[in-house]
Amino acid sequence: MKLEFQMVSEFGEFLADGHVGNQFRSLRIECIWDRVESVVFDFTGVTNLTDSFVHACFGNMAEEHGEEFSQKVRFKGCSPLVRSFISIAVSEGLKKHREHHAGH
Amino acid sequence: MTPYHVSIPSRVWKSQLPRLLVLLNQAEAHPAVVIDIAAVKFLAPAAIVVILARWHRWKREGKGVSLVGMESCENLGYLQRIDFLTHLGVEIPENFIRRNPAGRFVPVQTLNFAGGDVDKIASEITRCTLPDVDFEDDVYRLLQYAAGELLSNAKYHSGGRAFVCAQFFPKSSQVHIAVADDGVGIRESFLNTSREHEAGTPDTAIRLALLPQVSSVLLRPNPNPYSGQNHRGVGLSVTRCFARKSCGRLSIASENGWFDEIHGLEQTRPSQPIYFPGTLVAVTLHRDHIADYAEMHAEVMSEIGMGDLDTGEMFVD
Ligand SMILES: Nc1ncnc2c1ncn2[C@@H]1O[C@H](COP(=O)(O)OP(=O)(O)OP(=O)(O)O)[C@@H](O)[C@H]1O
Repeated sequence: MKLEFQMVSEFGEFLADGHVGNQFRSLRIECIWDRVESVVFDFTGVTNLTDSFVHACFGNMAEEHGEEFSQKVRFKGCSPLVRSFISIAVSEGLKKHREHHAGH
Repeated sequence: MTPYHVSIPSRVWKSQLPRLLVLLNQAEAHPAVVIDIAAVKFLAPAAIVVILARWHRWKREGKGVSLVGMESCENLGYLQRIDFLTHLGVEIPENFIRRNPAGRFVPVQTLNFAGGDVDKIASEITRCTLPDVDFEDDVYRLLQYAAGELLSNAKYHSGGRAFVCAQFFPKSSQVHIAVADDGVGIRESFLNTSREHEAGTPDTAIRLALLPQVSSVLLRPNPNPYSGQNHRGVGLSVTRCFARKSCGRLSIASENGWFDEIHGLEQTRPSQPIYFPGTLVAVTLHRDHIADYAEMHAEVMSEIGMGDLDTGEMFVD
């Protein structure tokens, strides 16, 4: 299964609420993760976001899945600002994933 | 018994906030309070939300609260236009026509756990505060960010009702935003967490909350502590760094805890004991010192030790 989400139609131009981000992650992605070959998040039209949102949504997802996240997930239509926020949250999630799995 | 009379001073700038907190607190022990706005000419956003949050908490506690001095208040129109009176539940006829509120009159907004979208309210308050500023402008996005994080905190940690107010002062090029809630306060938010002992007093609790990657949610016992958390403990610490970098100010009051930082320098504590049940966070940003929001954000994140892996291949055009 290949998924693509238009973030602006899901959440509007400003993605702020971490609870909403985390809920989206668990209800729309995690529950079918194993069946997903690839997932694209299209940020076209998103103008701003908070760290609470990106960390709860993408930081958690990267932390949960590590390398598999890097293989399956792609981000599209990101402004330099959006790209920078996502990159930091994902990077942090991947680091945490490695910490949890070190020595396993 | 005659109610306790609190006269709100004529002008309450942000620096006079401790005085306002002391004044309001003197009413605490009395079963009934009268708030007198007769002298009011100017109230900074922080003063507005503090009065609203305090009023609502008193009402919730069953205290008798009423408002007087409307007839003689020179600036009543302003207080009506920003919905201050509406939020106090006082409806009096308006002797003006309401126009687009953007710019000079930024209506106060409210939310609580049960209602209100953080992103919509944060965007609305930003649009009204900076009506002539492009939404891609750095100061616009920074204000929107701060509003989003502070409202989120009030919504998810306070358990109470929050009020948000903002204002742009073109002469000084400053943007003020303040969020006050009538909830549990920062110290109590750390109860039953693994760092509860570090939050033993309201003062130490505020300092703990300001540390990067400290969230009371993450510190609670949880069988799977890293999976699926809504919070990472970034909102307050990053907002603080933004205030510092823009040569601005961050003030926090929660119970008798107080924190006040200007240009990154902590200010001496007011001599009188202050008290604010719930939490107030007030931020001043200096537009002239906000060069590149994306760059500022990346710098802040690197200062707090977050994010240094190469994720380039995940981004496609
Ligand atoms: N309005 C508030 N009322 C009560 N406690 C608060 C309030 N604001 C912040 N706190 C406390 O301060 C802590 C740190 O806040 P901060 O915004 O840095 O992180 P967070 O909200 O937990 O996580 P994130 O910002 O990643 O969503 C919170 O976890 C909470 O314990």
